Amino acid sequence: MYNPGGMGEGAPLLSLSGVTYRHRLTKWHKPWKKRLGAGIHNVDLEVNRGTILGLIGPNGSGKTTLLHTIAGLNEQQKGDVQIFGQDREMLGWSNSQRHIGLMPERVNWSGTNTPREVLNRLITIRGEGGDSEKMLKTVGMSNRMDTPLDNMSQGMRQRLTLACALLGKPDILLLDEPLNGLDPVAQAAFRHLLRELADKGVAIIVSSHNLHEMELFVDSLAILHRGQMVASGSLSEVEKMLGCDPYLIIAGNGWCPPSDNSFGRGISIQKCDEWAGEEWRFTLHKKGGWSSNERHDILQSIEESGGEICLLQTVLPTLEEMLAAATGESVETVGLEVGDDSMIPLRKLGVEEDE
Amino acid sequence: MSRVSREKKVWHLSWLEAKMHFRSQRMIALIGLLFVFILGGSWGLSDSSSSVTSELQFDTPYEILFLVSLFVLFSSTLGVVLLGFDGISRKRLTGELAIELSQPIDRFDLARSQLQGLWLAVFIPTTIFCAIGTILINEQMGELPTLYDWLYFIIPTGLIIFWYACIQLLASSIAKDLGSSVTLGVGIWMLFTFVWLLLTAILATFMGVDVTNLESNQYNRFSEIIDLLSPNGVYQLLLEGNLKPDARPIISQNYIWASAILWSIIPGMLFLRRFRSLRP
Repeated sequence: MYNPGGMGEGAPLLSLSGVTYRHRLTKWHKPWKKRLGAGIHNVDLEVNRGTILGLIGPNGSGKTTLLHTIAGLNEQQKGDVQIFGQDREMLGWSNSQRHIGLMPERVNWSGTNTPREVLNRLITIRGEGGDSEKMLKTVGMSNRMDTPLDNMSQGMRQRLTLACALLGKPDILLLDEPLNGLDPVAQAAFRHLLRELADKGVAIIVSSHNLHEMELFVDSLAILHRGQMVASGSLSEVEKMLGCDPYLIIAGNGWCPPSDNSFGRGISIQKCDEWAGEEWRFTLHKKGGWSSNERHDILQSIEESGGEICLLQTVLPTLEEMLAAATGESVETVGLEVGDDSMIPLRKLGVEEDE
Repeated sequence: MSRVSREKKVWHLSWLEAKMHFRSQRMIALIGLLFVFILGGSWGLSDSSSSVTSELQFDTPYEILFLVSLFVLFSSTLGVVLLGFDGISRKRLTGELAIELSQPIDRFDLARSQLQGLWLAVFIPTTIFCAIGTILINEQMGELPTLYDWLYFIIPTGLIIFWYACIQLLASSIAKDLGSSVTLGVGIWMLFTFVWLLLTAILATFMGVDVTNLESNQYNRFSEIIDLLSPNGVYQLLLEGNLKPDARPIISQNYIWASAILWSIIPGMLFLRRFRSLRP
């Protein structure tokens, strides 16, 4: 890994502090009159070496804008972006891009060029040498190096985009919805590749609107909503921060726990529709989550009363539940509302809209 | 990076861009246009048994090349439109632009490579067809243009292709979708190629210039001044500068060259400036 002069030893690889970028909007008949639209507002974020950070949020929450701002495609209007503990302006705009690889969302590669030619061109643009064949082998395209772009499937195009992002062995990898268009086998291979890169010290930020997809391979989470960072940290930290605990699903036959009764202090119980082979199904909620002892006690209590357990599952809160917890909106409405142009910052955080 | 290696890199990228254009399907259309217009024009116009009009006499190879320039105006500039109208907008739509802009390269260099690549993609085949056309003229007339005359023809041809490349890429960087790209690209080409004459006549009427006699000195002078504002007009005026003295433009050569320099700088700078602030 490249670290110019060993600078910023101990500092996070990437650090954002109070970063704001809002898109400038114009109307075609008044191109001189610009107003600020949606974007990201006052974002703080730190990513360390070897970490995979999942950036999640609903559509229009600002994930792509944040990634583009980190990649240097958008120049932040406020705040600082530091790489290796050094301000990006001091490091040099172009030089800072040398440390960052960006995989944009769904690049629709087209034309008569081949993946090998695309990579060779990007290697020339970067001006630092590289092996396009090796890179294409890394992403599993050794047999498609000379296939015209027009003849490639969406999955192949995704792999090529990843190969582009990996050029120059970046220290920071930004992936925008990388699993879109990949089949399950390719998704697993992709996750494995990301873990390998993280083990080599690469800091990876992966954006997605699918929390369950993220749970499989991220080390920490950052939730973005209406351009603001709602919460960040490990999954358990985020859950704790938002007061959004995992709950238990318990199903079985025989003795049925009374739905108005609680198994203990602080545990609330709610009946659900049964599935095939079950006589009853409940969800159990408790502030602070569940310890293994508590789960064991519940199992024991049911079995002692003559019940037979066929399912006991800890369910993590969904993105919708987390967003609902963060915004105070209901689960039903929080996902429907796409951030509008005026990008009203969350009232809960007490931030005034600046323009 | 030293200045030399930076230049080398930009030209290498330009060549890769041009190669991409050479292999595109649109190039087949361009080659067809150049074949019909430039070769057909060179062969037909240099045929001593035919004449364009009864009043005009063209008896030197350069004068034939001057007439062929009218076909270059149609074919080569249309070629720039065909290859360049979506040069930036397509990459923006497919997402390739985000990848290119995230690479560690000065945007000025990247923009230059796009511009030079498009220019090379049209200028190289145009030059080849003009060279073949010159051989055809020699076949018909038994005489080749002097090297000076040929360069006097090919350099302004290179310039007009460059001006159109700048204009097309600028328009493409403004357009947000393919429809707008086509409209802007073709619209600009039609303005300078077809509508300009009408525009000149309308302006002349408003300015009190007699438009009933298109051969009058007053109208010629006026139209030459208005032509300085059009790339096609400047191209024609530049080429007229090497004709016989009585066929040369009325306005000073200094104005024409000054206009050519401005056309070489302003659209290019506007495109480079636009590219610097481009968002994917």
